Amino acid sequence: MAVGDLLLTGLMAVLLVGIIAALTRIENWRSYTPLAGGGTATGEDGAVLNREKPAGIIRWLTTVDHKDIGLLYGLYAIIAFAVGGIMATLIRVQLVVPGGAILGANAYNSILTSHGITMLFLFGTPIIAAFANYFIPLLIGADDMAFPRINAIAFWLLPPAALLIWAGFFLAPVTENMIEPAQTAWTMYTPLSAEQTNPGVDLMLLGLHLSGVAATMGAINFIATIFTERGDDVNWANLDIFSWTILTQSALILFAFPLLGSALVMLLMDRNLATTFFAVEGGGPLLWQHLFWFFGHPEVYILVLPPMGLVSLILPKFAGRKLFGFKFVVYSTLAIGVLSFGVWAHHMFSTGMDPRLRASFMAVSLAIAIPSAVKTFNWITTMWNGRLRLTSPMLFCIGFVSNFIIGGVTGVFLAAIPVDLVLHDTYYVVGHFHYIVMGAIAFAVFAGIYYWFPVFTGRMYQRTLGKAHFWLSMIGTNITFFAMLALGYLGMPRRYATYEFDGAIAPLAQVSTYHLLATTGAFILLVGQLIFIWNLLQSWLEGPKIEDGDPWNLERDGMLDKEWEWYDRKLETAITDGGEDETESALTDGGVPEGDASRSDDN
Amino acid sequence: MELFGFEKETLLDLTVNVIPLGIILFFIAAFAVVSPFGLDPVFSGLQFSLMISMFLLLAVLTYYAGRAVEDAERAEEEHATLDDPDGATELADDDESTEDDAELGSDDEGLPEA
Amino acid sequence: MEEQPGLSDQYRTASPWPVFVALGLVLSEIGVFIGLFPVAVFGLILFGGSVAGILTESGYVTRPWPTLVGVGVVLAFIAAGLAVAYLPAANIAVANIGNGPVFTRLVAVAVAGIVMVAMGGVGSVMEQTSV
Ligand code: HEM
Ligand SMILES: [Cu+2]
Repeated sequence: MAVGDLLLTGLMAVLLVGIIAALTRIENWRSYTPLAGGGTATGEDGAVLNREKPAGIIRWLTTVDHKDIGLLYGLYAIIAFAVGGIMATLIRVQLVVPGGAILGANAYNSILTSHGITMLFLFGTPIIAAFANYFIPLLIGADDMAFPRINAIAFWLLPPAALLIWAGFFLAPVTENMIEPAQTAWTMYTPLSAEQTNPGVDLMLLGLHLSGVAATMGAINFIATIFTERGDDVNWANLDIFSWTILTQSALILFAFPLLGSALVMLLMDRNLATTFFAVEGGGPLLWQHLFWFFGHPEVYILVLPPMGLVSLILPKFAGRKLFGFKFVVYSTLAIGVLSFGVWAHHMFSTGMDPRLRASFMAVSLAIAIPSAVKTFNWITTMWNGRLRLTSPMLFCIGFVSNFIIGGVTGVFLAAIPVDLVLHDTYYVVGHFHYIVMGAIAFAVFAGIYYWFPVFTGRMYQRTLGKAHFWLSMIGTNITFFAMLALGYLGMPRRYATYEFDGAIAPLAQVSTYHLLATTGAFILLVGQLIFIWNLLQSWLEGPKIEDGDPWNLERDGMLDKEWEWYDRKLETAITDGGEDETESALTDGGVPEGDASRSDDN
Repeated sequence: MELFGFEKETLLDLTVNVIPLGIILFFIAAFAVVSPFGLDPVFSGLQFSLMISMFLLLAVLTYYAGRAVEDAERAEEEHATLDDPDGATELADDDESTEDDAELGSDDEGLPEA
Repeated sequence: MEEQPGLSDQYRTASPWPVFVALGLVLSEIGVFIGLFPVAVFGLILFGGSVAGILTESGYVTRPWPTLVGVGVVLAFIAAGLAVAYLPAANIAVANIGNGPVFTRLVAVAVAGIVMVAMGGVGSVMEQTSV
């Protein structure tokens, strides 16, 4: 112990010296940077310097510009998506044969847990923050976020959070499995999660807590930004739909995440300090479930509302007409926001809670389906008789609507108590929420990335690859997750590493077939995502340059939003002041004076 | 027609939230009339307070959101001179009329008939 | 507005502090919850120091030292308060450091607080005597 402490102290001292050194370097650079006039040459590589940002890696470490932070969030989320995707592939490979193909039960449980947490907390929430950071200030005509530094702090909490959440995987080999990855499933139900002595669980809980702190800081920032930083011409009557959904989402985060944070701290204390919040003799194991789902159900809407906003924003652009019933969408967004706090126990119908209470949760769950359905009708009506242009972003929007319908309808079935009692904890539930998280949320994210690709890279993606990505994703999603719905009907329980049941639980032959189908679909999905990543990288580096601030030809329909106007001005400024006057906009690689922030020297 | 001080257009927009409110109300009434599991002070109390609180919260939020939007519209109108260069996503107000033929920007002030 | 590139250039969009505030918070949490004394102390100091730094830089306060002292005092009081409220008085003794899981953690927090107070004090004295 003493040796360990000594080592740690030494490590901390080294870190301290490093930090001081780094700070003096940066602070030095800052105080000598002339405020007006050319930049200083800190970057050895001779990169073009903006007067407001240093060059190279330091620029990314110190940036408080909302566009840079948006890109950082995006990069982070895509990496998490890749990690979570590899885990998903492992899960599906494991399940091709009833006895399990590659993993032991422990490894399977670890990977399953991490897959869920990675996708929800490290991909879902951050990728939404990426869009929100980059585009909310542009859409509402603000200079930046209300608190740019808090914005940066919120982002920088995430990489350590990811390392903590995945810590078990790195530490297990070096500690001889003393510290293993958590095997609690993403819901971390007690008593299991309180009793597993594995310190990897503590690390994961800390990571989750930090990601929650980050999300809360971000949410406060968005609320403040949308309320106080709007441009003069933006008011509640013409606020764009994406900002509305982010506003609602931020409110949900503000009420839900601190609660998760507290519950996590209570669980950590139960584990480490012998408190009894969730012990049978204390609050009881159901307390965890109530706290978790009081956060957990709003969390699913935290994840789905902004993607709905993205679709509501993008889909009309390629249908050639305004969003049908814009205000319906706004008000139903708010309705979803409120009602999502009154349905949490629909995840607990089978826990033997009082039937009267259960009935009221069912009532509210049925009510919340209406606003979701309203939006669906609005999207469909927007396309009705529209002049559809089936670009990649539009295809993904349509895919979103289609998958969201299946996901939503299966949700309504689950919200009916008698149905849920049969289907709870089967693959049906897994199919339901994957239709939404993969089929809808991820699709909207792809739509957003393709739609705005020109804004943040200055280039166009490769259309054919975009289409291939869409079709592979659409087909893959529907094969994989439809098979899961069928598995659920057959009675296949979720969260098992193997399925060599006797026929009493589920008919083995059919179950194997559907598992095989699900795995096939997963591989189709995988190929699609590889194409996506390739397209992103290659087009970023060498895609055709965008010359015009309206690459989608939105002007024609009078639908050019503020972010494109901003982009157009940026392009023009780049051309008109290029080279002249004191701005050293030297456009070697298409950099433009200030917003090249968003592109030139990163990668 | 004025109800809660809203103009007709706004009321029409707000109907979207009246539906879930109605559903909750329906269940409140239904559970009050039919209670197959009997009444229990604690659980029936919780049962109804969950539904009633959701009803109230949704009603209040809808009211204030409607207010904010309508006030902003009024202010916009008072500023009169329709400067509406960037039609885009903004208000698609009256959800029936302007839709049929795509082109917008022109009449998205929307409220003249009110 | 951002959208006039070239005009907004004076506007600083870089700050060294956010990374360190985040790192400080991360290390404090790991240190306190996992019970790693040096990590907790260092993390809390880094956190307090960076908060002082970032507040100064963004102009909410003019000098960092009072913030540092303030954070230190708050931490020390919280630790002391929790110790008095939840631990039997007999357990609060130097000999006990490293034994009781709760007590050791509270000591770490208190130590970090005291160090910050000291650093803040020394810093402001030095600042006033020099120049
Ligand atoms: C149309 C509204 C929806 C309804 C009525 C609904 C209903 C339900 C119900 C009743 C369950 C519990 C099933 C069980 O465990 O037995 C459930 C599970 C789940 N739903 Fe939904 N849902 C809806 C929309 C969504 C959305 C939009 C998302 C995601 C963004 C989502 C994500 C999930 C997740 C992640 C679970 C599984 C949680 C777990 O046990 O691991 N749902 N849903
Ligand atoms: Cu739910």
